[in-house]
Amino acid sequence: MRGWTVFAAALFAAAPMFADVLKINGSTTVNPVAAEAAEVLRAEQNMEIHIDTQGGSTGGISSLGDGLVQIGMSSRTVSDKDRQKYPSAQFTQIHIGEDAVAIVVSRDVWESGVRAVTRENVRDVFEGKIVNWKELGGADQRIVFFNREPGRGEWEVFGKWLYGDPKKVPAISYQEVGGNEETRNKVGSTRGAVTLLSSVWADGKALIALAIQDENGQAIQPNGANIASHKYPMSRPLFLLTNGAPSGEAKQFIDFVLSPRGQELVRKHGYLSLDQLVVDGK
Amino acid sequence: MTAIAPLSLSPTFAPSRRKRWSFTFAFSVIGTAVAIGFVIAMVALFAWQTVPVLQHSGSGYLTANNWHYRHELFGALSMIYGTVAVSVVAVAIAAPVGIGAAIFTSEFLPPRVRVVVKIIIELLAGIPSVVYGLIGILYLRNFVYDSFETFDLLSGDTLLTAGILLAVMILPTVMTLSDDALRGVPALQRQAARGLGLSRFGAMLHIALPQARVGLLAAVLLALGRALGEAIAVFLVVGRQDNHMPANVFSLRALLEPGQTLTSKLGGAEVNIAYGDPLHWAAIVGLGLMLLLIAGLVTIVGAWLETRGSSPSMYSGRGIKGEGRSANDSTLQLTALHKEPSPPTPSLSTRRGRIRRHRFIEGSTVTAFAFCTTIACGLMLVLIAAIFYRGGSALSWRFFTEQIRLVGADGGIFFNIVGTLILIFTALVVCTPIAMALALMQGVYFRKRAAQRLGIVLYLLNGTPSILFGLFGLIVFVKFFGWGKSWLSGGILLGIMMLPTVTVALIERIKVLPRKYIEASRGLGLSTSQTIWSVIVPQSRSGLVTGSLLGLARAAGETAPIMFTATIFAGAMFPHGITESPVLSLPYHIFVLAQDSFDPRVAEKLWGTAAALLLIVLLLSLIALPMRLRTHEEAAGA
Repeated sequence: MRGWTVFAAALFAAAPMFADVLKINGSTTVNPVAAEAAEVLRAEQNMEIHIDTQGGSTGGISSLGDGLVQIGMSSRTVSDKDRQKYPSAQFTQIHIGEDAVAIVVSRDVWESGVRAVTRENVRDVFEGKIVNWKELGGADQRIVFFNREPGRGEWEVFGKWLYGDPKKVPAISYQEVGGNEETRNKVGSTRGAVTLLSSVWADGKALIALAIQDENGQAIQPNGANIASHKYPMSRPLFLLTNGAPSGEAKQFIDFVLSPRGQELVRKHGYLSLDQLVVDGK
Repeated sequence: MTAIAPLSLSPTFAPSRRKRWSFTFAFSVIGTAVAIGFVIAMVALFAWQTVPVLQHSGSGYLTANNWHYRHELFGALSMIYGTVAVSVVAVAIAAPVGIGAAIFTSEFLPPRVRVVVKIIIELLAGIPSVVYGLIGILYLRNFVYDSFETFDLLSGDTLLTAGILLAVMILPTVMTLSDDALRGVPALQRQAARGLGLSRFGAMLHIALPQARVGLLAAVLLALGRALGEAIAVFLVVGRQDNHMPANVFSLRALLEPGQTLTSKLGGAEVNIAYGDPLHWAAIVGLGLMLLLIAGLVTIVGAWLETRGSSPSMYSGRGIKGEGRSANDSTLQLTALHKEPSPPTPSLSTRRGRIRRHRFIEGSTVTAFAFCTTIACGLMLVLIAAIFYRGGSALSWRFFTEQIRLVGADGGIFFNIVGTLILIFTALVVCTPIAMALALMQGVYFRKRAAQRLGIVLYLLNGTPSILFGLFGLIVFVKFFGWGKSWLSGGILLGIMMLPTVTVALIERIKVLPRKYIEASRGLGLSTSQTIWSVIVPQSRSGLVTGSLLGLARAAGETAPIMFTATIFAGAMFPHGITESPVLSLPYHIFVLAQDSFDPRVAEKLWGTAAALLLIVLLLSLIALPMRLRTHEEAAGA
């Protein structure tokens, strides 16, 4: 018992005193960038930064609204519903990069010849009107749709693209997957699987992103140029959110992410940095 | 073991009425009140917060199969079905294997081997559920997907996958409690049966099994309670599909479909989304209430049977009325044995063929039981070997001393270990006084009936799904107290969670205290309180230590109670306050990285973390188990 007490006392005594703790929570898509930026600032500026990914983008927005964190991470824009829920919060969106939500299939689907789908195709799959890949030019294989769990930025972007508004998405339940790795793992190991996933995570081996066919029959790949030019329909901004204008440590953090070194981290994790958006598009 | 006092020390050690309100008694009352109060507060809080959804959906909340929170539809039928289906599969697999293994261990193995088997099984019980989840997501779901290919599964995430994983997780519970039930049958009766010419197998079949029947049923029910409440592992492999009811609930095909359970819903993203929306939140808490009621009911029935079944008076209580109390008296038991319909003794004139057939049946049954035991022990060894095989390469000095870098792909888990240690140390500090109070109340102050009731409260606490501790902490500590995520709330929750383990260890230790110590203390004129502090407490220290270590082993591996309340993914170091002071932890690290890791190198670190967590848990258990098992057996024989 005494050993324990001494140990605990040592632990607390050894605790170095930091200035205020900067707390960040939200999207697992933004997380790798923010977490690595935090590592740099922790080492170089001796800042203490807590990072969590509870509840995805929606979790980030609500914990910012509740005042539990100073920065929220989000891979979707803050909706009117969010603002209604937290009337006193002044959500400020800081654009740090861009990502695309891809319609991602397992390798066997790709190999059976499915390369591109139209918006109508995807909607029919989602609504259960198309249930076999042969209807989309593939082999005779049942379509297994994995939905993303609620609160994920991908889902909101997907719903907006298909129905104009996530609220108008019909009530249909599918198997759900949560994080990006879980999605990659489960979809990659299931025959005939399809899901929506950040295009970065489609590794081209187990998971392959389909092109989206527009009205003119042109297949648009979710690549950098198409995301930057917004030709690819399901691109989405990545945000850091603050309540009011960023200040203090939050500002320091955001400034770092927007700096060349921070933007390099955005690119490193496969997203488009802000300058790529400017050069390639509008 | 004749020098052992009965469970309640009351007969020789009744505290005299006028001196009841000593400090010690007050301490025991307060500690007991805290424990019972927690259970009541949890039920009351959940019930109160559930009201809005009942007003909104009425009975449809239970009977409708439409859960779409965006459309304000809350019908939880499919989750109730999923919970039941998954648990039934788990029990259907774990009960026969566990009971078979327990019979073989308790009736056929020599004592030394038996102890080894028991330790292995207890270690199996200590493997954290998030580690099971990891194994489930990376191996078991693919195994199920490939094995049942002919059924054209949607994916490897099915109710069956979750059920199998749960079966492994509850196997130790079934086995340990069944073993207890069988050991509860006095050895003298077996000897008498052998003396009458029954084989070892016959003694088992006609003496041990019939008497242990109730205890075995209790073991299965208590394991079922466990299965109903498991969240993390199920969450990762059940598919989490809402509103899916199979065409035919009773076909085996139904189990090969994905589903949702009450716990997987509570472990998911909707909990965070729901908060702040009274109706949606009520619907979520309502799921917790349902889970609490279902698991609680099963546990209470199991606990009631268990207290009845393992009570030494059970046998004679059935055989000869009024003699219950002296059941430990061997002569009475032998009389009792005679009054039972006499077990069929093999007639000497039986034909040879019949004997041969009997021998064959006996032989193959025992072989099957031995096989069950091998499976149970083998599972443990395979699991540990697999984890260290995958994670061993990550284990290095740097891994233990550095903090996370590159979002888990590089660096180490120093602060995760620190966080886990802070959490379990806090849990220990919270738990110890309450456990002491409960043990004194149960072992010293309470008479038999009250002690039994308190025992059931302990079972109930033990059977409360861990995710509900998380939900309770989220409501009370995180939101109501405004602590945010804090190491303290995690420590408190884990402390209450480990309460039953520590208390039972203490009670059993008090139970085996030599009676003469107490008599000596009484003879010296010491008061009840003085006897407690100078004899009982110092003498039961070993119970406290072993119980605490086992409790800590369980607490260290828990994810569900701390994920909403105490632990975050990265950046937390040493806490410098109570509010807004989260810690990192090992189980949550695994839980997050199993769902989200951007870099293939994370996998190695992930398994390394699992191995490190397992090391801590196994170490704590291994130190405690031999002594704990000895006390337990002595107490059971008392």
